[in-house]
Amino acid sequence: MKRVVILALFIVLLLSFTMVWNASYQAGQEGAYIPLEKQEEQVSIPSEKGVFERANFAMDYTKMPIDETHQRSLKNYYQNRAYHGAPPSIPHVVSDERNMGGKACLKCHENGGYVEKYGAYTPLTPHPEKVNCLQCHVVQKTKAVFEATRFEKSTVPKTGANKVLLSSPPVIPHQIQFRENCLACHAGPAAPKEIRVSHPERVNCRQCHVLNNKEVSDIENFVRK
Amino acid sequence: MSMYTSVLFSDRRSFLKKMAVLSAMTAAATMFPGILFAGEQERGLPKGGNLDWKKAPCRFCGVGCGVLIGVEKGKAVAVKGDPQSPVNKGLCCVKGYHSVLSMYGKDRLTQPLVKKNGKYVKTSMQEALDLIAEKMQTTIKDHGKDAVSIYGSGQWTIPDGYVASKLFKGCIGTNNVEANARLCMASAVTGFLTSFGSDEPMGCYEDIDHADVFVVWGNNMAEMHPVLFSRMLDQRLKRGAKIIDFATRTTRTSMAADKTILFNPQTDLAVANAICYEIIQKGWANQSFIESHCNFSRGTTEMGYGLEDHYKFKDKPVKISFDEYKQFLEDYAPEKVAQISGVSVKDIKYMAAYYGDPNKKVMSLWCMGMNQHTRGTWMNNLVYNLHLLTGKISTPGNSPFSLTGQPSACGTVREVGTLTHKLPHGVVTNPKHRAFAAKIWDVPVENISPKPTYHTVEMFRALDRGDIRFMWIQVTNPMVTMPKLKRYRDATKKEGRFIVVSDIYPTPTTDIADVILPSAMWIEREGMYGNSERRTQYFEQMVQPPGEAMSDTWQLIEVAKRMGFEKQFYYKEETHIEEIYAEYRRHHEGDKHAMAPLEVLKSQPGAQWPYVKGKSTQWRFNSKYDPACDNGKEFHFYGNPDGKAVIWQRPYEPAPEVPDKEFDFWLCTGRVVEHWHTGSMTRRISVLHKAMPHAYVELHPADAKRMQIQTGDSVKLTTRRGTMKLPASVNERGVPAKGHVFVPFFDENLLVNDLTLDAFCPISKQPDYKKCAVKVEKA
Amino acid sequence: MMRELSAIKGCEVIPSENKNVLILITDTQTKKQEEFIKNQLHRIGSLQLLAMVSGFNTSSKD
Repeated sequence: MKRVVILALFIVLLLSFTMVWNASYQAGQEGAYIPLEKQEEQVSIPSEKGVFERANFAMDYTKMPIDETHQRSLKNYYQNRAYHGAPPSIPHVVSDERNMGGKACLKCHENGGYVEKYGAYTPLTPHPEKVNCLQCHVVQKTKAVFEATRFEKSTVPKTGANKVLLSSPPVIPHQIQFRENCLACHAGPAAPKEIRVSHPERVNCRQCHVLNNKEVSDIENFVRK
Repeated sequence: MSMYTSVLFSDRRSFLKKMAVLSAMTAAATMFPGILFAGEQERGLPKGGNLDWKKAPCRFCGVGCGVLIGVEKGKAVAVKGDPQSPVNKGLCCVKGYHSVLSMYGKDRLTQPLVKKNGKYVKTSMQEALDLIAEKMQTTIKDHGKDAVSIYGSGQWTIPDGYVASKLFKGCIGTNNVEANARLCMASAVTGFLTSFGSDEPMGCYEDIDHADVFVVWGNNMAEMHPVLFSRMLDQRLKRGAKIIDFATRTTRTSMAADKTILFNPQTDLAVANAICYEIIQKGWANQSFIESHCNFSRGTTEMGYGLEDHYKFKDKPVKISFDEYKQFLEDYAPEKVAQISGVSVKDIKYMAAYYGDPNKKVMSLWCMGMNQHTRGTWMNNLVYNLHLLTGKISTPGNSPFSLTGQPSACGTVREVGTLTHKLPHGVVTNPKHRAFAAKIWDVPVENISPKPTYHTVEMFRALDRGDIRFMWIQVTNPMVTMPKLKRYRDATKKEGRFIVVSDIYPTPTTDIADVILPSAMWIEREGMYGNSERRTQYFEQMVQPPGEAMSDTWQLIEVAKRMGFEKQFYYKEETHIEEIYAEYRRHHEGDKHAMAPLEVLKSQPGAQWPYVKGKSTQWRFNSKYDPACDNGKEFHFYGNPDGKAVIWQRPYEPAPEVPDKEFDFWLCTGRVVEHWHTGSMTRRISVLHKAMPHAYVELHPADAKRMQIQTGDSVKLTTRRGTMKLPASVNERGVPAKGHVFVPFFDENLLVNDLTLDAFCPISKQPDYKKCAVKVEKA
Repeated sequence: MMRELSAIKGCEVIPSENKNVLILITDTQTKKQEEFIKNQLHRIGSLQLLAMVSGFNTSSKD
């Protein structure tokens, strides 16, 4: 009799051990689950956002002095561009051609400054978020040509011809793709003198200045059908 | 060669001087908000040759910027912002700067046209006016007084609206006087009347200079009220104010704002209630303010959306206690609201924290998103609740500010009362008000009918049914702007309907007219406009109107005289505006609504009413600033008889037409910065037309990708009311949420209102242009 | 008060349109001139509050 009891006890122990062990194993198999909060997508409209991008520096722009002797003109501006709207080529030596963005180009071209070596102010990029600079901007290593070319430089938009009325704000005569940030080119000491604005502190440029830049075909005036 | 001399700092000394001036001005702006240094601004502006610069309010939106018009040899040739105007301080927007070009389009109407045998024949002005008067008289004889009607506009000047109201309500005796501001501001009006008993904002634009947080409720201020938005951006730059954009669509405003919170259409009702819940739960409610200055009420719910003809509704308010209100708000805990509205609990608490913080001054701004809403009145009440619960109202910087869309929706439609139930002072249903109006109008009091007739949508439905046979449409374009447009366009073409249209250019509305009268616009005649902050501004006649064009005021007076009302319309042509304004002022005498005299309006850039003892009242209901407060307490909401404001219990109710299996997108309509309303003026301005030549439909990039649509592809939109093809726009001016599309309505060749639904808010009768269900396909 | 202020040598006045505030710009060559102006300002009785800001230019590497 005693043997049966002891046997039963051991069987119960074995069964319970098996059950507990199984349960624990199953529980251990459940993956840890942290409920993810649905991240709302932050919509960004590139053509609308750019105009506000340097807005926090707007007051600083009003306080910047204008250096008459070292400023550039639209002629200088177009000298390293093949056509208007083209990415400018780099007129200075680039130390490391394998570098990207922040550590290389942006340290000067994001916020500008005076460079004594070239006697000029660094132009600002209106699109600092694009870090692979050398994809579009290449260095001018030589002035010679391989073969002559027949490419004719087209006309560039002129200043002073963009107002309808004597006192109206000039329209934007150029495309704004990659140039949504107005202050980068139109304010500060690096701005070409013909296009430097008198009121950089007004943040919302496109409230008064609209795009009239259809270069392929002119949009005719409205005529009622 | 630029006409502006750029600010060149030629030497160090003058540079330092300039810096000093700039710092001083900034310091002054923080110490004395609202300060102006006009002389300094004027120094930098071009001294245009031999131009005469005269001041006027801008022709376009409800901001009411002061502009200076340069006139040379009888033509308007230049515009600059008026540095003396406290509204815009010398800045305008692109429409304002080019506004004078709107008068010189090639196809300007210069001669009346009368439709004879299906063709328009040129007639003289006198003949046309004779015809109109005669037609009105025969219509009244054959079908009764209520068969004639006039549909005016928030772009009517104050004298226009006054004369129309006097002629139709006082002399003829019909209440069929309505204006397009019904489609624009009616919910704001009923919101004010239900919460405060008195119409129009209690704050003013100077609140922008004091506020710490701006909450923009469902409107794209960067494009629609650009000058005010620039003032807000300026405050952010100088004082670190915050801008929160609460909208259904990502726009230019979202790009400029500090935080954008997107919500599902119609759920703004739920979110506002959730914020109220948070405010009370966290103990941010201003108990002493609520006890001394507020009552609680609830109204009828589940009353439909006005889709049927002859829809009638009257709200029955029931007083409740604060505890019952708290009980009601239990349903609107942020966790519950987050599920239907798409706004996370974190964002609701974020907004509530700003409203609740006693040290932050909050300014709420809204326009069409909240007003063109099937529960627009409720939505207005809810935003007032937020400000009343926290006591943030009627003090500089704390301001629920209802923005207006049109230059004189306040000045003419609301103040003169060119709506079916209103009189210049009071309502037609009140016998004391009728007697008062009749006395000033010099008509027998029995003439003024005590029953309001039709609101705008119902008025056009009445035209469809034949209850109205004669309609005079002035300064507006209903054949582009009425919702469910096809029904009302067909209505005007029916037999026996005589439509007179006074306009400046041929539009789809003149296309259905029987008589077209050329009008003189804006500065081609004298007049006044009233803007959002209760500022009345005067403009003189600066140029001559073309051909036989005549001001709307004089057109109405001439017809009135032909109908036998010479006694009431005694005004002489040279001084008629002055006489009309003097007569109009008599309706508003008293500290609560006094209008400034004309000499004051001529000498400065407008004055705000109530104009008491030579001073504009900037903040109403606050005894510190408002001389009309007389109950000895700090705040006196004198619109209501017990001097208290009402906090309304308003629930969330869904929109009448929500997307379903067949029509699975939401359709929203609106404007763009370049074009004003239906574009009849702005499209004829070359700069604006070239910047925005045609309408389009905006899609979310994910939806566009799924349907293989790129910018420029043709997209077919179909609703239960019609179908239309439009070019697509993906990721350009605005990005709607997933499952939404947006179409601007300025294009008369792409009439999006053929697709919209004519459901309206039952209390205000204002239609909802922002929500209906549409099917989107690649065409 | 505006007249008195503009009469002081070396001072420019910019009045505000809508408040009783104006900006006074002083342009002096020497410390003695500064002292002189300061005394004159003290003598103007109608002046209630004077707040001072200054313009400065950080030297550029030229």
